[in-house]
Amino acid sequence: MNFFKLFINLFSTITVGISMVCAAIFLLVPEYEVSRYILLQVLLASFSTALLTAVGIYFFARLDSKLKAVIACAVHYVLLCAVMIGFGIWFDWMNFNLEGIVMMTTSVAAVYLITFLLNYILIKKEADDINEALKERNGQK
Amino acid sequence: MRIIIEELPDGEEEEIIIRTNGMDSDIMELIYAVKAGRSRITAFTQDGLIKLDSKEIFYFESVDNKVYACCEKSVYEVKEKLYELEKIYENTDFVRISKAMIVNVSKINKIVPMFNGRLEAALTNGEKAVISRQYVPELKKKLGI
Repeated sequence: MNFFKLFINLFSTITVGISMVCAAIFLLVPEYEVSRYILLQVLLASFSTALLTAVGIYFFARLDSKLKAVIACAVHYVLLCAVMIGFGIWFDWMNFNLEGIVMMTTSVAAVYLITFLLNYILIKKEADDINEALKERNGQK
Repeated sequence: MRIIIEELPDGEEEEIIIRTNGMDSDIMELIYAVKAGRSRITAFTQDGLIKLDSKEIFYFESVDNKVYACCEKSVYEVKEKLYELEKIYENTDFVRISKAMIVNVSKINKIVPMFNGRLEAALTNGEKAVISRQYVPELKKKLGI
């Protein structure tokens, strides 16, 4: 998969993830006032985090051990949190205090989990299709 | 299509003659299959040279500018470059799965999805080989997906 295709896939998946988290926050906190620029803000946040993730995956794919992968995952999560806290302050999504930071890092974790699960489901399906074809091919021999 | 098999006297060289109205992909595949099935590659061992049957080879791997043919339990150095082997074994069970590896599809037990989004081929001898994302379409094409 080339970089652009990976980026587009991530951008769409992360946009879905952020939209789901936003929808959940709006439902759970009815007094939260929604800006008319929210869609643009979500797209900008998705774009930045998808770009960061695509670059991360580009290097991530070269890692040869599970430990390195877990460390890279943690670093990636911290960077995502930093970017999203920046956007959170800029777009007035959060207050820069402990409560605001906890809310944002939890939201990033939720989007991270949704994106990870969606990607894993796609890769698992791809592996299952290949295994089915392998079974047919190697079974015939 | 008629298939004629003639038994030859001992010592006479075996040959296959294809009589066709025109070459098509089926016939080309047949030729490649016969060539690959019969093809033996020269490999180096500490004791000298040996001929390896392609069916014995699990994968070819390039390490530090040297190419190795890996069989079930043994590894041999071969003189061909990876891109040359890719060409030789085109239209056979061998497929490129990463910059450094060509694997024999018939030796893949199953494909496992990995934590970092890549796929891993579990081979029948217990070894594992990582499949780069860019070579997944090639593998799928080989398997008719």
